[in-house]
Amino acid sequence: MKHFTMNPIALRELRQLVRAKTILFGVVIYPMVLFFALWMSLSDALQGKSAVELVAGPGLGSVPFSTISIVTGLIMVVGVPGYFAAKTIREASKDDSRLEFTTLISPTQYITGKLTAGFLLMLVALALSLPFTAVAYLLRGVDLSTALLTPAILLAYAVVSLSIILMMATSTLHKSLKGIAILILLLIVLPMTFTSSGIFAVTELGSSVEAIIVFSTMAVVAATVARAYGASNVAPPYSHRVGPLRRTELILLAADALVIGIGSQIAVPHKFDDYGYLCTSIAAILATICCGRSAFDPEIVSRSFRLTAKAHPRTRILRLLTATGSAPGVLFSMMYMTVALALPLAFLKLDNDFYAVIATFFFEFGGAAVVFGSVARSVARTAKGLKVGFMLFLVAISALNALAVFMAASGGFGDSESALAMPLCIAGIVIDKTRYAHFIWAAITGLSALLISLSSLESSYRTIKRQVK
Amino acid sequence: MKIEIKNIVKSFQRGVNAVDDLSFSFSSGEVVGFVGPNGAGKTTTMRILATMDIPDSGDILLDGHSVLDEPEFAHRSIGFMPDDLPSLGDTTVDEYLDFFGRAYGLRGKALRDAVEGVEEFTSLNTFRDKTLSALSKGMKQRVSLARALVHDPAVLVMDEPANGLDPRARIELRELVKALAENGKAILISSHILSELEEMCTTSVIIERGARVDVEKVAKSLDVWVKIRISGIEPDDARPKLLEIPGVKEVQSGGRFCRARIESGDGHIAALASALVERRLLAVHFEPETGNLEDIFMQVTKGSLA
Repeated sequence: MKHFTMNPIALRELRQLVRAKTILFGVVIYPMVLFFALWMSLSDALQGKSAVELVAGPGLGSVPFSTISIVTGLIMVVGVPGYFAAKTIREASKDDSRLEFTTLISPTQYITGKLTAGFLLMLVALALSLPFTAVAYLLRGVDLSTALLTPAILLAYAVVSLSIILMMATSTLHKSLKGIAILILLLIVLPMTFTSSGIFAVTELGSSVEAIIVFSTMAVVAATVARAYGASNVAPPYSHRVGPLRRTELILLAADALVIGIGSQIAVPHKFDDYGYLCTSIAAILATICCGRSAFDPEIVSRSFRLTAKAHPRTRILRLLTATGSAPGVLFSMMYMTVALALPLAFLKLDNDFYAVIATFFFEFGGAAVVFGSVARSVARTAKGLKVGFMLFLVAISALNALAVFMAASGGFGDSESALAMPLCIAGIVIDKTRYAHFIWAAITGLSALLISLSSLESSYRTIKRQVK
Repeated sequence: MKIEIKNIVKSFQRGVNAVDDLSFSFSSGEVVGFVGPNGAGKTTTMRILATMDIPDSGDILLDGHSVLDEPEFAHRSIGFMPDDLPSLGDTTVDEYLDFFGRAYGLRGKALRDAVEGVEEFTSLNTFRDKTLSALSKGMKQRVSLARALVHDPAVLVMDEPANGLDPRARIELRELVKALAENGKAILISSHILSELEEMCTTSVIIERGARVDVEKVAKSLDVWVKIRISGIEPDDARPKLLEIPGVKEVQSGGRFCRARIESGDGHIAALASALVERRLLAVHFEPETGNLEDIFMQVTKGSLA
């Protein structure tokens, strides 16, 4: 008889969940909160209405339905990923947890196991909310397709959120920096993205079915990429994720930052909408947090690839991203290729709208990642005496960015993603890891950040001026 | 299984090598004591062997399989017991071992047998339903050992396993290590308690500043103590007589015996024996003591860090 082979990490997580007091407490309190929310929203809806109005009217269900969906959504999209993030960070700080990678567990299995356990916990939350959703539906005012699709979309969002949060929780940054980044993501960036992408889907695509298809595709892609990065983060050996960069690596990375940072400003025509910026912001944060030393170390990548190809000859290309720790490296290669393709277009004065959008997306994706990531990391590793200077420098850059964002909001064209550099950089300063050599790297990438900020400021100014005229 | 550590070099920062061209080998049934001052590179070497680190250069071969090129083979072959204790406090002993058994690909009856087997071997049967947070340090060490053994590895790597254990637990650990070696496992064990290592190890490797120290050469240059009992003369009275003998550097008396320190080498020992006869000192007990690990360690190490 073939034994049921459940992912060991998932099984362990579920066993721990069953024993965790926080979860047990949550399972008891959560229905009470839902009941309270239902009662409050119903009493609001009932206020000042006669029985005739209630029977003949459009129904009372829409407000309670929305309230219950919001509470459930918060638990699934913020609560569950937050719990798993805290748990993963706590585990990672203990050397004992690394023993898992001296077994036959693969990095992908590790991430998938945690995702599976999180998904099951989300299902529990959803199941607990279903009776209340049913009550709201029976009160009329909500059509059947909305009642059925809302939990499904919430679940999809929650899985994406958990994937992204796990990816960050497994990164090699200092735990305080990871904590800050996760909080920003959970409380600001992810809810904002979900809301704005929802608005985008409905307003741009018109039909709700089309919107759901686009939305689901985006969710699947985001979750898959995040899962690949997460696996890439935890791929052993760990020492290579935290080791200092060598001088030659510093020079190469500095060259990368200059080429991508400045190249993106001169090569690609600015044909980019606000939604693209939002995507870029998310992508920049993700890429920043995921880029480890392994991504730039050809020796590690080639060795890992050789081993993976040998072990899994048929699926070696697919496994490259997850098994070798090279996912961020592949991303950087992709950006480089885009730069290489875009430069001739710029010099030949060719104007290709489609290419411009695609290329700009990759530039923003990678350029912002390189700049933010390297500045945050470099500041963290620079000698203590220089940190104050760097902090002032970064405050100045952020002030410029804030102005650019303000101008963008006024109808200009700004680099909104650059503003996100600030919390990352300040968090980086907190870390007490000093590497004097990183001064050069920080200076060069910081300069790139300054150039990009000035450029976006100038771009915003021109656009506003043109609009005024 | 033969384990060959070949020219391992590992540096962490600014050209200082934590492990510097380290080479040694050992085989199944051997218990190798891995000794060195703090920061000598013992843990780094063990982590490389357990695939938790990779060296800057050099390699480790397990029956000819490189741990760098074939980490999965290494994972199957090696059980690593780090100096950290198990940290999943809300997990029971049985669940913890069950998890690692599954992580090594065991399922069904094979998994149950393996978990129960290591629980019995490490006397954890009565604690199987207790959570790890409820266990004493000694019991956690046992859990850690059980975890390292759950997939029945051919090689066991133990980093400071006796750290913080009480005397009884240390004796029990020693017995467990001996039993494992008798079962044919190759064991690499580091400890600061040298007298204990000496009792359970078949050989030892001393490292300092990441490099191996030539123990044989040092051992030869060490003095030898000879345990002597002279018939009809109390040790305190025999002491001055022994000190008169040429070549005797120091004499200690205590209990029924004297201990005389002379230069190492068979010639010096034979010369002492014949000098006793010449002086009509009737030795009813004459036992040269080999230099112990602690003496050698103190002689060869300076306590400096890599």
